[in-house]
This record gives sequence, structure tokens and C-alpha cells, in this order.
Amino acid sequence: MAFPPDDVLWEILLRLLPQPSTLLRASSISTHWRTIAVDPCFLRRHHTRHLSSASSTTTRAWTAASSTPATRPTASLPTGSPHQTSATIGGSSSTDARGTTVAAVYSSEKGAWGDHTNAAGVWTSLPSERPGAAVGDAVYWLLNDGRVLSLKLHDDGLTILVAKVSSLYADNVQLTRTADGEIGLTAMTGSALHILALETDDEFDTTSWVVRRTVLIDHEIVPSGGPVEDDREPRCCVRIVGVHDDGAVVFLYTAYSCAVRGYWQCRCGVQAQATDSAGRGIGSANPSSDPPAVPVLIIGSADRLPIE
Amino acid sequence: MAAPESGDGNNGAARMVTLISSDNTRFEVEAAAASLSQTLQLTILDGGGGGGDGIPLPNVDSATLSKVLEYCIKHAPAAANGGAPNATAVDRAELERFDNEFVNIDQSVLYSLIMAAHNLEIEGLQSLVAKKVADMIKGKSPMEIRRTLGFPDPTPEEQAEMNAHMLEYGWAYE
Repeated sequence: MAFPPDDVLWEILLRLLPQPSTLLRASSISTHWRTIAVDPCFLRRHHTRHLSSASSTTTRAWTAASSTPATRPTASLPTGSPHQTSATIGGSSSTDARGTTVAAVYSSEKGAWGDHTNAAGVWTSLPSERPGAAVGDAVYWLLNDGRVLSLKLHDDGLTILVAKVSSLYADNVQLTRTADGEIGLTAMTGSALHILALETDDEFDTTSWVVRRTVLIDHEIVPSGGPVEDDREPRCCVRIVGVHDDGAVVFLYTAYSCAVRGYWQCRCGVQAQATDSAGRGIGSANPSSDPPAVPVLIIGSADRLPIE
Repeated sequence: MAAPESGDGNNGAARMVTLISSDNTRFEVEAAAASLSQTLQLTILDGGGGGGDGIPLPNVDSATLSKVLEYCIKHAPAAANGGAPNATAVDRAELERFDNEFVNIDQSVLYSLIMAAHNLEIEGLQSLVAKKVADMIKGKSPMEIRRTLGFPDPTPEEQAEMNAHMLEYGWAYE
């Protein structure tokens, strides 16, 4: 179908609200429309547009089109975790139309999703698009307001961690398991990768995210000159795609320009040092003098060779 | 900025270019207005379109072209101001009123405009028509959307695919 031309169709679909399902309905009318509506690049722009627009009152009541538990598991447990015995392999959280948050856990034993657990009518902001993390006895998801939602697997309680993730990281963060087996966070600012952990201050009885380690990504994947922004969409130039192996390996995606674009794998060697308690209290204001992480281009434009 | 009324302008020195529609109608318009089209901009910068030459536009008929130029003439002053950072609220409200009125048109005219905005690469007009179509789609079922946009009735395969989609995302259709 030649009408409308793709770039116009793109603009049309971009303007459809995610709420309730306008985009989804439109995307069902033809295979071609659907191809565009599920394009990751399109979805990213759509998401950015509708979350950042000042008049987003309607999108607040987003029905989680792309994250109903049945269609988008957002967390999976690492192999070898204690949960293999309880046969729980994933969970998902979303915010329903009334603005309360629900979460569900998938049991591979029963081959079905469990009951949705409500956060007791708590209005919690939307879950972020980032994958959740399974740590110990709980599954965690990041919320768009920077707080973290946790679901305890055995007593089914859905709670919200009071410690907020700094908006400094935008949503360029990934929940992860620390080498100590606690909930942790990998976050990116500019060319620095931060490993954070949740710490409790006994004196004031507060918990907060504390930077345990900062690694500078000192290679050509982060050219100087700062992020490129066009007027429509602020582009995050180095994005965390995923974290593996308790934060020791971080996968990054860069999109500075067509020339410097690709997926990178960074070995941060976190495990070797994360147990070093001297690393505590480094703080974001005082980045450590760790040697730069060496990024390895794993997938990318053909004219680039992997850097060793 | 004086509100422009038409292409003849009040500035005698303004450079004019001639555009020729597919049915051979000649339109004389200020270069600044025609330059809202990315496609025409380079030709105009190169000095084309002046005098007796004219730039032929084989894909745009005269009815559509006159509509497109109406948009360009209205928006040219603001565009020349670099998105009009110093435009008053009144100016902006006036442009918005103009835009709303402008797309309040027959569907066939709207579709010709979509194609023209696409061919001529007029960014503002592309956004405007896209917004209009998005508004037309809102709240409609997939079948209604197809009819609104003049798609032919779905083939059995397409219908099956739509049904499967509906089944999978049934909650979205409530």
C-alpha cells in the first residue's frame, strides 16, 4: 500500500496515544502498519513523546499496552538461582487503568501466570521500560519516578523501596544483582558507568543508593562534545542494554552518529573488587581512579573492527 | 513582522519564483515561502525558478499546489524567524487558528495534501496533516480505520490476521 507514505505513516502513528490502545488498534489494520508500530526505534520515540509531553494526564492512565503480564515478562531469574527449585522463572509488573500497580509471577512448574498482586491501591507511577531483576527472594522493577517496586516471592507482598534513584541517570539504569547477592544498580552518566548499592544509614534509619564504584568508559565509543540532540528527541548516547554476571559485564549501545553506532560489551571486573569494602563511600562526587573499562564492539557497523 | 496577506507582498525587493503544477498552471510566489519545501530549497538557492523558467512540479496538481502555497505563505515569516522565538502569543494563536482551519477540508483534498507535503518535504505541513489523520483514527475500530482511510476491504488472510491480533489483545478492544 503506497498510501500514506512511510514517513507520514510514522508521524501519524507517533501521534496516537498509547492509552487505551489507540496505537494498538491502528497497528492491527495491516501488516505494514504493524511493522512500523513494533519497530523498536519507533516505540522508543513514541514512548519518549508521550511520557515527556506536558499534557500527559491521559498517558498516566496508561493501560500498559506493551507490558501486560501475559505478553511481556520483564524479569527473569538467572540460572542456578535458588528459584529454580521453586520453579519461578519470571515476573512482570504494570500499572492498570486505575493507576494501581499490579505484578504477577510466572511459574514454569504450572506453566501459568500466578495471581496479580496489587500494591494495595498504592499509586506508584509507571514501571520503567527497563527489565527488572530477580535478587534473592524478590523481583524488582524500576518505576518511572525513580523508586523501585519489589515483589517478595513467598509472601506475595508488593512493596516500594523508599530510596529513590537519582534522576541524574535519566532512565539509563539497570537493576542488577550485586556480587554480594543484594539488589544493585548499574547507571550511566556521560562516559562514566556507576555501580550502586542500597545502603542503610543506621543513625538516621534511612536507605539510599550509594555509588560503590565508578568506571570510566574511555574509548572512542564516547567521543567528546557531549550528546547529540535533535530538537525532537533527546538522544541518550550511551545506553545500558543489559548487565550480566552480577555487573561484571555490561552491554552498552551507542548511537552518536552513523559512524559510531553499535553494541559494546564492557568488562568492568566488578566482581574482583566489589567485595572490597574500601570501595564504600567513594561517592559520586569523587570518582575512583579505576582504569578505563575496555569496550569491545560486539555488533556494529561493518566498517569498525572490534577493539581489543 | 507584518502579517502576509498573499504572495504579492509589500516588499518590492522580495525575490519571486515560479512553480508550475502538473496541469501547467504557473504560480508566482516569494522564494522564502517556496523554500519551506526542502525539495525546492536547493533549486531556489541555486537561483532556479526565477524569470521565465519556473520549476515544474509534475506530481502536484494546481488545486493542491495553491492549497500548499497558502500554507507556505502563512508560515514563511515565522519560519524565517527561526521558529519565531520572538513571536507574540497572538501570532502563535493566529497560526494555530489558521492551521486548524486549514485542515478542516474534504478527505480527498487532505490526501492530496499528504502526498504533496511528502513529495515537497514541507516538515510543518507533514506534521499538521499527520496530526489531522491521527485525530481521525482516534476512537475507531480497526475496520472503521480502514474505511476512513479508504483501504480496500481486507482479504481473508488479512482478516484472519486482524482477528488473531484482536484475540491476543482482546482487552484493548473493550
